[in-house]
Amino acid sequence: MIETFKFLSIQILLLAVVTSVHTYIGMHIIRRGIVFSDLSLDQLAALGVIVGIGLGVDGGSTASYFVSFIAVLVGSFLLAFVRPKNKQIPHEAVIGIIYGAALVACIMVADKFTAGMAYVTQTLAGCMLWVTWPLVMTTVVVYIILGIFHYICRHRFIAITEQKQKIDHEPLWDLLFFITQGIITVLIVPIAGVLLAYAFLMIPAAISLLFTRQWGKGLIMGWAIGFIASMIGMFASYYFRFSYGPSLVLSMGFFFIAALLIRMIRPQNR
Amino acid sequence: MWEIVLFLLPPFVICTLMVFIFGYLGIHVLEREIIFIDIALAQIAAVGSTLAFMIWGVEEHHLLAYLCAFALIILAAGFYTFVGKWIWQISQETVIGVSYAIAAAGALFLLALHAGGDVHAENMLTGSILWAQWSDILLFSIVCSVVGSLHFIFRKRFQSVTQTIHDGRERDKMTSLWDFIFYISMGVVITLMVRVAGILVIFSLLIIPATFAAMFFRDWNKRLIAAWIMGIVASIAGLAFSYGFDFSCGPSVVSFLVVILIAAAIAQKCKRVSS
Repeated sequence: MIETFKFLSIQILLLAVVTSVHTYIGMHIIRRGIVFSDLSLDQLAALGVIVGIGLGVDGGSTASYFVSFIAVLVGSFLLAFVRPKNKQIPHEAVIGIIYGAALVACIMVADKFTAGMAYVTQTLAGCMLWVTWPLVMTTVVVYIILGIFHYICRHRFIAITEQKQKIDHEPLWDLLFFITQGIITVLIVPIAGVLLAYAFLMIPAAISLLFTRQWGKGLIMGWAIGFIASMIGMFASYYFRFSYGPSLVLSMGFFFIAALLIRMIRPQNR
Repeated sequence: MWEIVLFLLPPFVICTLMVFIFGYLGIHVLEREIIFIDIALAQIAAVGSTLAFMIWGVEEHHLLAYLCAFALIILAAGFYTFVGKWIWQISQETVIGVSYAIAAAGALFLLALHAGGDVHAENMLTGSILWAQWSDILLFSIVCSVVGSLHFIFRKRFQSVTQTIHDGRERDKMTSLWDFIFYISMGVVITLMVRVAGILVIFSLLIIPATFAAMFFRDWNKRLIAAWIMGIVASIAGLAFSYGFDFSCGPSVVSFLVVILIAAAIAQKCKRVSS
């Protein structure tokens, strides 16, 4: 009983922190119209884990996180600076190609070592049920630091996202934004998997944007819905022994479909 | 030498068929800025065939598996059309992104309930082009011809619907209907091809040749020809590499698509700097 309580409390704390920062970054990503940038970074983080395993580094070790961070850093540079001048090529196409290239690299690297494909599936579905307290505490501390950084610099980041005014050194702030996104990606992907990490970022933010454009209100709404949905998914996964990552994504997915239906039944004027 | 050519001929024909149909559809997808539509549709089709496997125990090439996949594709096409008409608070691409995550999670959820899920997951991503049969090729040729003819006959209508998608006006019923036909036609091709080609290969063939073509040409016809040539060159190189170095076929073709695109982007940048 106590073991179960300890196990569930670790999960609840992690989900509460993760949904807050991811919802906020997700609101930026959706408003900027670069919906798949996070999926690309998540897949690059997964590539780092798989390359690490190929080099003999254990998944979840410091060295594995380091390799992932290098991969994500390269991705952040590409996202911030590779912007096609040609209007016929949307930025999202570049993002899509980065994602495809990262996924194919994962498969080709995994192709060359034993049970490699099982690692690829693991990086997609995650193995969050086996998180430890030190890992959770590191994640919580880093997320809080990033949250404070984003709160202090919120006016600059919001100005870039809303494109209402020009700010000094915009590419640098853009790069900082993608690097913070990259750091949370590196921390979350090895435990949550690519799909859940992406869902944490997208689904609560998308639900909140269906109902409000205000940042504060949207953040509270997205966090609350994301947290409740992921708790339902987590308990379903625990008690019915369902796959962890997919259960949480599907639970959040139900809330998203419900939100869309509400918005269709009660449309809002443009 | 002839043995190798004969061995690689079926996968090459499959790649060529995909290059022709996805090279064209990719130009629409790029213009509409719905880059991830095919990955979402392919993933939804994969959920359909996985469901058929779970319920009736049938393999992916069984008629029931195709019907299940197609039923989900029709649902998805209707869903995207409705969402495009009624939801303006978030972009169509956001809805596509979330539906992709839900479909991928759904497929992994179902596969985790069965032993050997990893193998199915790999097949879902990369397909098995190397083992394509001539019967597959015949079926794909018929479907590509039908979908290709539909798009050729109504090319002006499809082009106009695509080019007006970002003008901010509300979509009328006829435009929504053409949107629906566009999604359905793409869904049919993807449903059939995802079993053999895999999600990743289809996604790459749709986006990369169209992006390559858009770098050099504005005219739709020129873009189409450039996309086709690039796709076929990458397919030949990818298949040869896969055979020579014992890598999976699908990921090898995708790697060459990426390499050619990066080389073209660098060459264009150098040319711009020097002039």
